[in-house]
Amino acid sequence: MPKVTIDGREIEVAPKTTILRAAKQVGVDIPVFCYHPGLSIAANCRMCLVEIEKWPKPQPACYTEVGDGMVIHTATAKVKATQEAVLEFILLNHPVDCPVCDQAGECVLQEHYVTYSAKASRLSHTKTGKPKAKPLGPTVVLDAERCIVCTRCVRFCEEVTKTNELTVEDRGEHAEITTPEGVELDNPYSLNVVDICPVGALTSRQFRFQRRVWFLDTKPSVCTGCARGCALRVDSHANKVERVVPRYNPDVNGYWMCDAGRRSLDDLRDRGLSTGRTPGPNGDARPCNAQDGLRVVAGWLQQARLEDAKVAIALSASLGNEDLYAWGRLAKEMGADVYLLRKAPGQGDALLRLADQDCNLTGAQAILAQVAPNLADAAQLADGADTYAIALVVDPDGAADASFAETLHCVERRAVFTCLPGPLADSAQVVVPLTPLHQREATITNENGWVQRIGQPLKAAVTTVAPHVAAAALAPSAVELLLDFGEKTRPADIFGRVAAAVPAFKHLTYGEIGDLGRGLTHGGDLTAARPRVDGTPQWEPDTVTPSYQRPFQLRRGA
Amino acid sequence: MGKLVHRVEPDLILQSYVVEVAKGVTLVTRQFLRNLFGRKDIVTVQYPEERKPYTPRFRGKHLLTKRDDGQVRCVACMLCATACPANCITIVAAEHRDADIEKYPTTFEIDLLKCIYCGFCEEACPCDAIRMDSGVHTLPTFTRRDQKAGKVNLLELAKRSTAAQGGDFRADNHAGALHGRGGHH
Repeated sequence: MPKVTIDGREIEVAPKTTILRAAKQVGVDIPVFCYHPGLSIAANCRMCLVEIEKWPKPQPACYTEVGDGMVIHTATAKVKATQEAVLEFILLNHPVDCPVCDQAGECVLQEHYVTYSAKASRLSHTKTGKPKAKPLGPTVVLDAERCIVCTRCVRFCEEVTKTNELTVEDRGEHAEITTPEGVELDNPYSLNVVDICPVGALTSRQFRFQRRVWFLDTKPSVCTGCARGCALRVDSHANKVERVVPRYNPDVNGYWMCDAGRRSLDDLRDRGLSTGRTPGPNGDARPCNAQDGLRVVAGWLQQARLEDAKVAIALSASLGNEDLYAWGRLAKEMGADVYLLRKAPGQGDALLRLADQDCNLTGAQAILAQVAPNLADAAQLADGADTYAIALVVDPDGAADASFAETLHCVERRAVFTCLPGPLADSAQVVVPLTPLHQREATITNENGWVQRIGQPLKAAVTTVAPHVAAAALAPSAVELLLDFGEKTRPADIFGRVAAAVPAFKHLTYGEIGDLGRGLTHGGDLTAARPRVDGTPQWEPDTVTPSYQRPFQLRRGA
Repeated sequence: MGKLVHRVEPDLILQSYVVEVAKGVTLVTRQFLRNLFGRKDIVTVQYPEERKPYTPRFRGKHLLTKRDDGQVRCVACMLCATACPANCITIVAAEHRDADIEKYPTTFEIDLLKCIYCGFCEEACPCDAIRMDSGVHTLPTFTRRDQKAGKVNLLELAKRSTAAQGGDFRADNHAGALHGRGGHH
């Protein structure tokens, strides 16, 4: 194990560790532009140059591996002069149009300039002009003047997506990121280049000019677009999603997420349901809130209990763990048959996207196997649909297709609990508006058995109800019993019940799950022992905290 | 310790008010006749026909300045909205046809009822796009809606700005030397 001294602090690190990582371990920050932990090392920005004793010239910390007995200095006059020179060079042709640049406030160049240089430009000539607002593809727009040619985006397309759409054209001050002729930056992960761009050169066409970053409310959450459950961050303003960016989670998605996942939150924004429907006194449909809808369904269940009628409950595999537990328990107490609704498979790939579109299939199978033993697939409802007096369908985001809605018509009384309008909602007499997953606290289990918290990045509409609360509200009229979590309908309380009832969840508590999640138990083995997605040991992503996440402070240049 | 106040016990003459009313009427009548005949040092200003000059430091309502071609100078950077302590500025940005201008406000609205006229917005503006030197009073209106000054309203008072677009403080020394958007400083 090589022993190195960095700024007077001695540390023993694993062989082949770079100086940058070793410095990180002793708490020394070295500025970088082109280095990204998820990509290969280019060492082309020269911002991380450090001095090593007995070496003739400063060396790039991101690339140089430590050797035994190395003595490294990161803050000498020589290093500072180098950093100032690098920044002056990078800023030479930079337009400094921060007022119109979307990156302002979370720009690595802004941060480093104020921290490491803050010197005036000495340029007396015209700056090199380059194309502005140049579309690279359907999702990404390039401002070539702002680009510092760190090639993070080029490396991303070469190494991660392996689609090679981007390249550097020309040399020196004319160097410019571009696509080969006839090629567009159009791959399922294209928006990641916007996230990794350290400056405002690559912008998302959808988020461009929508909101300055310091106005955004930032909350950690999880993607519900497919069974992968990528960790993400929801940036919203006034309860409206402005953008969705991936959050580093070595056990799930590494540094990246797909474009479809980012768009999956748009659905709620554009066509979410806030009012339900109940039958009016003259048999007509009447708009209602969740409470009114639940009251009608409770009346049906009470009657069914007296008449000993059969009830079918169809649960979507895209519900949270707590929702599935609450509904499963309700079904068990009532003796109702439970059917599992699954979404039609989508397109998967080798990187992150999975064909399985249900965000909580693993959780649904583990929980329902324990609390609702007579579980069947939703397609089997077609065989005996007419034997049921009541069908309750809990399907927040469109897992049921048109043919299932058709099958449902054989049942006399149909209630649908959903977030989205569509054929399923049209086929029911009662529609109860549900609170979408991202507007409440819940947990989901991904395909790998990794339990993550959704974390409520958005506020819910008051007319909607969370599925587990709906189950708790229906229980007394259906079976004359409070569910075992009683009046406590906080997800943390119900999660405790899940952990008590389901062996796979046994060792978990809601608080412990945290932002990065925890693995399920499979026959005594923790899934935490599985290889991590990015194949590397845990390593924090960017060293720069965006200025808008720090307390406001007025800083002036020299 | 409070101060002890001695009340004047009103006698019968004071209680009748006859003398006191007569005193008051005499005072008013004397002033009225003085103003009517001859006296020139009356303090009352005959507003709105006659107006007193404002001090040079009076700023007045906001205005948005224009570019040489008459377009709005504002690039919708939202720095005024960020600096505003009253949160009274609402801007909706959009992409401009001209890639060199890039960003411009489709909506620029100042709620004059919320505004506290602190001037932080013109202080924050990097483009000399918003100013408070119109010298125009904010007039009363019959509805709250009319107190929201929109882009059209703010441009009506517009003046031509002579500053370099982008707020380059060295533009005077290096006339034409920079690429229009200025150097870093």
